[in-house]
Amino acid sequence: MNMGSQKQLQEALCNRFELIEELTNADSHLIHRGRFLTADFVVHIGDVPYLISIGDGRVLFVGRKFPIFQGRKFTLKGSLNAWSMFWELIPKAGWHDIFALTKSGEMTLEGEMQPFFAHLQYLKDVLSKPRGVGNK
Amino acid sequence: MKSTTAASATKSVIEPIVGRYIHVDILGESCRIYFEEAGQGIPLLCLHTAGSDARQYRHILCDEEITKKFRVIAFDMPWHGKSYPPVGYQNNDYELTTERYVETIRSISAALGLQKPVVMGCSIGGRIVLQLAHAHGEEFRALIGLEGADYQSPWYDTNWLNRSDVHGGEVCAALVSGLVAPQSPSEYRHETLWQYKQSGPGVFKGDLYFYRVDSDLRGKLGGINTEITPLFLLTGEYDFSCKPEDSIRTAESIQGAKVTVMKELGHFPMSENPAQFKKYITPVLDEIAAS
Repeated sequence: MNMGSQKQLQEALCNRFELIEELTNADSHLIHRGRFLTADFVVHIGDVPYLISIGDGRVLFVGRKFPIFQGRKFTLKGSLNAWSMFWELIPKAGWHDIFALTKSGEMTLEGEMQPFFAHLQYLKDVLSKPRGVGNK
Repeated sequence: MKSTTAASATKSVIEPIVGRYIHVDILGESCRIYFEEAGQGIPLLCLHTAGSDARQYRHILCDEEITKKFRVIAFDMPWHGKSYPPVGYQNNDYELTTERYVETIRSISAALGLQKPVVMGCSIGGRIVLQLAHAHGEEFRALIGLEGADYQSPWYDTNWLNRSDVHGGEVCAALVSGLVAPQSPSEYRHETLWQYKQSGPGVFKGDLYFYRVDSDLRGKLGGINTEITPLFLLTGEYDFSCKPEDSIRTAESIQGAKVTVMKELGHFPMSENPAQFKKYITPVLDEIAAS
């Protein structure tokens, strides 16, 4: 993949990721399931880091601005290929779950893990919201 | 969709499954074991996955094409489903060992008077059939390992499964949810996950002691005679816990073992997508019945 197409893919995936706020907040039962989670965490789409703020299960902010001195619980990093494959409508085997991807090394997860495991299904569902959804 | 719901609501069906309890001595402990069965013929003893119970086999138990040839029996391991832990459980953490697992299966088989049963196990059940083939192969007509291998690399810390600040049922189900193939019907995906949500505290973790600590069988499976006891391994392509290549590697190390990679299935084939699984298990059971 040349630099131009890589940049295009990066932007396309970032656009899809930014849909998470709208898609999550439109899902009232998902918000209900995440109602005990209030936390900030970081997700890397390839080289681009995003801050996500969750408040009582609702996505309050998704963006590339990182306020100084603001703590983050954990960081999930995925390659462009990982997110691209993960968000296929029916992902191929090995690309269909965050733990499949951390096991294969296509994603990494670090930081404070208690909030991640305590809200695991909610977070998995939030992060897979762009699955099969077209770009912005 | 509405008419289907209405029709099923007005039509009562009693399944052919019969559930009973049997008291079995396992390594000196009296255990009250719940088992379900259906059918007649060759005994087919089914082993559920770690942290779940025998409900995973309900579709096999209700499949007339299978139960006309096989007496299908599925039991809840001690600590699981409707089988209580042994008396005094409150004083110990549960840890399943290879020895305890083997003796559980052999004791229950003997208590039920099964003559040379076929054993079919999934996940930890797929691992233990390898040990049965290695150490007790002559006792079984055939062995079927679903999602089984001599070893697979771990993909999370099992300490997250049982601690006071994380809901055990929720985290167990959330972890294994990724092992269900995306093509599996939503109804059966969530039924499979419900079994994990209902598991007792620390039980999934205790089962995985066997998986992670006490049963690395690499290089230890000599002496398996598949001419006497055929061995079949079937693994779903979406299983990233026991990956297809883990089962293939294992089968290649055992003369005569047969391995199949199942498309559009994950770690719980009999439970998550019974129709898809049937395409793969039917020829295996036919081969066993014809032998």
